[in-house]
Parts: sequence; C-alpha cells; structure tokens
Amino acid sequence: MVSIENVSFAYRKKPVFNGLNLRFEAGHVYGLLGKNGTGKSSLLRNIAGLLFPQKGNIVVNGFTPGDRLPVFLQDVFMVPEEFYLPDISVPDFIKSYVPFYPRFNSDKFRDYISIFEIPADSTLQNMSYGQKKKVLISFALASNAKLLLMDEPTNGLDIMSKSQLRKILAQALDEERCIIISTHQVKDLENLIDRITVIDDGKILFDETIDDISKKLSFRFAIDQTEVAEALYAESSLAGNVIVTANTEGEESKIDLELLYKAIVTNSRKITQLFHA
Amino acid sequence: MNQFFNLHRFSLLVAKHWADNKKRYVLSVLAFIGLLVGWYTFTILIDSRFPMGQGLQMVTFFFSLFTVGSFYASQYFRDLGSRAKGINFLLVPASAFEKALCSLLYTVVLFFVVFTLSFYLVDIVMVWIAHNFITDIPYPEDQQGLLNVFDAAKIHASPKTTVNILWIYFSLQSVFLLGSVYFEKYSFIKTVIAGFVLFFIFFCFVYILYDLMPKGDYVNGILTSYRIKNHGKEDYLVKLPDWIGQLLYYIFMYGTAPFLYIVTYVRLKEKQV
Repeated sequence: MVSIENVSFAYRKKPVFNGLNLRFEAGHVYGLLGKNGTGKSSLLRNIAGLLFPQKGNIVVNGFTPGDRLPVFLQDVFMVPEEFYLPDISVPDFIKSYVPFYPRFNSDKFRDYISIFEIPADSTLQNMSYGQKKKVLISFALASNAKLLLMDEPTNGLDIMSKSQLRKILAQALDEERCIIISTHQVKDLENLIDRITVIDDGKILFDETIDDISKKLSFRFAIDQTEVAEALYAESSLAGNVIVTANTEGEESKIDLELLYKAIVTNSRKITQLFHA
Repeated sequence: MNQFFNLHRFSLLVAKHWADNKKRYVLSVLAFIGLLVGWYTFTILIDSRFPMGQGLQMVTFFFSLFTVGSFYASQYFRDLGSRAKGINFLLVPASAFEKALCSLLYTVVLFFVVFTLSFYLVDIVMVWIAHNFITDIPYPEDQQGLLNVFDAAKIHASPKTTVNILWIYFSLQSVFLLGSVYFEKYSFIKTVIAGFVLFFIFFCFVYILYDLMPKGDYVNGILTSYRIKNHGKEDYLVKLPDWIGQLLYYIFMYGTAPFLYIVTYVRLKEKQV
C-alpha cells in the first residue's frame, strides 16, 4: 500500500528525515507516535503528495504521490490537524465534493453524521471546530479511499465524540483499507491501533505490531523495588509503581500505549534489543 | 480516464469552485456595480454640462478593469498561502492542468465577461439618464453616447502599429495570476513590488547598454535602432531588420500572457504545502 524507501526530507536547511524506510499495508490501523516537531505530520504530507522528498522514493498504491494524479487522489484522503471547509451547507458540500470520489457511499456518510449527531442541513462555517472535524472525518471514511491519513484526529473532539470516532473507525476498517493515524493522545485510540511506529529525530525508533508488543512486553503494577529498578520503564502512581518489562512469563497483558511510548523514548536501545534479539 | 485532462472532471472542478465562492463573487459584483453607480453619479454632479462623455467611460472601464482584474487574479490561488486551505485545494482529485485551466476560466474568461456586462449594465443606464434627465446640457447634439470598449481598446502607437490595450491587460493580469501562486501571502503587493524590481533591472540593462555603445541615442523606441553621432559628419543609423522589431512586438504583446499561464501551471504542479 505505502512503501517508503530511503526517504530524506528537509525544510530548507532544517532536516526532518534522513534515509527513512517504512511500509504500511492494507487492513491495518497504524499509530504514528513521536514528540512535537519530529516529522509525523511531514511524513503524512509526504505520503499524500503535499510535500516532495529530496531523496528516496515513496510509492502509494503504485503511484508517486508528488505527481498528484487524480486517480491517486481519489484513493487517498487526509484529515489534517488544521483543516479547511468552505462556507456552505453540508448538503451543498456533499453535492460539490462527492462527484470527485467515485466510490463515495452516501448512506454511510449519513450514518456517520448521525452517529456524530451533526445537524444535516447546517452551514459548515457556523459549526464548532469539533463539529467541522466530525463532518470531515465522516466524509473521509465515506469516500472509501484506500488510504486514510489522519493527523491528530481526536484533537478538538469531546469525550463522547472520541468514543464515537473509535466506533466509526472500527466499522470503517476493511482488508483493502489502510489507516495511518498520527497522534499524541495515544489513549484515545488505544484499542484501535494494530501497529505502532515511533518517529524520533527523523528516524524510526520503533515499529512493531500490537501482537508482537504484547508477546514481548509486560505492562503491570509492581511493588518489589528490584523489579522496579530492572524495568524498562517505571512510573509511580497512587496504586504503586506501573512498569514496563520484558514478558518473560509468556502471559499477555493489556498494552498501555502511553507507557509504551514513554518506555520507547526513554529506553529505546534496550527495547530495540528485546525486539530484535 | 485521462489523468492530464478530462472534461467531466474539469466541469466538476468548475462547479466546485463556484459552490465554494459564489457568495463572495455575487457580493463582489454587487459591490462593483454599486461603486460604478456612485462614481458616475459623482461625475454627473460635478460636471453636468458634459455628462457621461466617452473619455470618462473609457478611463472608468480600463482603470477598473486593470485594477480589479489584477487584484482578482492575485487572489485566485491565495488558498495556497494557508496550509489548511492549500491541503484542501491540492488534494481535490483533479489534475494540476485542470486546476490551472479552471483558474484561467474564472480569472481570464468569466471575469472579463462578467466585468464587461456589469460595466455596460451601469453604463447604459447612466448614459440614458444623462441623455434624458439632464436638461442644462449646452450642446445636446455633442452628446457622445455609449462607448464601444473594444474599439476604444485599439490605440495607434505608430502609423504601422496598433496596440490593443486589452492584450496589455491580459498580460498584466497573467503576471498577477502567477504572483498568486508564487507568493504565499500579500501576493498583490508582492507582485507589484516584484514588477517594479524587474522594471528597474530592465531600465538598468538599457542604461548600461546605452553606456557601452558609442555616443548616440535610441531612435523609435529602444533596442531596435540606434543613431551614432559622428561629430559634425553624417550620423550612422544602426537598425535591426524590421521583422525583428515586429517579432519582438508580437512576442511581448501576444506571447507574455500564454507564457506566464504555462509558468503558473508548472509552479502549481510543483507547489508544496
């Protein structure tokens, strides 16, 4: 679906990635994590063809994104963090944008809009940021684009809307579709993501499936101070210490993405060794 | 389906642009009509002896065409100056050629048609009012009537050469259209400044060339003929063949706009947000 080979990208003199290699396959929801300014949004925009890599190749569904061919754009939909919708009503928006997406499913769009509780005949400019975002997400999912790129999709959504979004995304995933979500708020999409990619300093720090993570890492509470000291990552909480350790017992624990992320960022060398031993 | 140009996709893009901008466009046309009525009323009030002369109509038409047309062209791609709007624009499933062609349809063709129709809508009414309601005109037989802007656009620069102001307008507008895709913010002002800088560079080039040449002066304009002073004897005239002068004239007059449209398309294709 998406193949990134030896890609280097820089904004004028500020390098963002150098020799990045990644693959994203259909049928998965990828979580792209990283600190601010590590290039997550730039990577999504490179994949969408909005930015062009200076070196290396990106191939999406067999196309070079930078060519921005209509046939490519019909199958890639991006929900950016900062987005724009014209000052028109939802029906007018649908009328003028839908014909560009031949596989758009109007019934699904209506379903999503009703799940999000958006008034169908209101004007987009009169909506709140969160409501507009929900219209855009509904449109993106109903477009049936094979590749869906979402940059901080839960930003600006209230608690109910976040759970509605999880429900809708779970419904929308099929074997032909790949969803890449860049987010800081990992907890919002915890049960949805099936592969975690962490970018740091323009490099891939971690890229593993949820299955592999739960096989190799254990997330639990610990009282024993030796266990805490030897953990890959430990954090004190009201109920004791929460730790991330190597899963030596073979028992699968519930993955806490926030802890995982902190463990990767603070102890990437040991975690990489564990996964590539 | 052709990925470079498809008529159906192009018509969708034209319809989408209209749906996204119709409020702004309708309000702008109404504002223009209002300003024109206000301007003509003002001129009638201050000069009721020779109201609505063709000179006034001509100045009004071409001044407003040049300013409004250039400003509109400079705003067409302003969405590309904002990341959010730029993403929306660039990710619409249509080719860069279709998007560039849509910009030409709106800024060059439709703008000119709507502008001219709006102008005549007001002009016909105001000329009719001037002819029928103003009674203190000293020589009613001298009333000039309605201006034909297409005839007025042709100016005889020399016995051999007729310059059509409309072509100059389209060339100038194409500069502003390119500016709107080139400059992310304040494209109108930046294009004006860039134009002045280019003009200054051209002026310096002509001046340096003049300085390097033997003492003399340009004849019949610049760059095609030069008279060398021969200190009391007969002067020499160095002249490029007429066809080169004609060719340069046609290239600048009719080639500038199409060339800059192509540059706009290429720049749009390379645009990153």
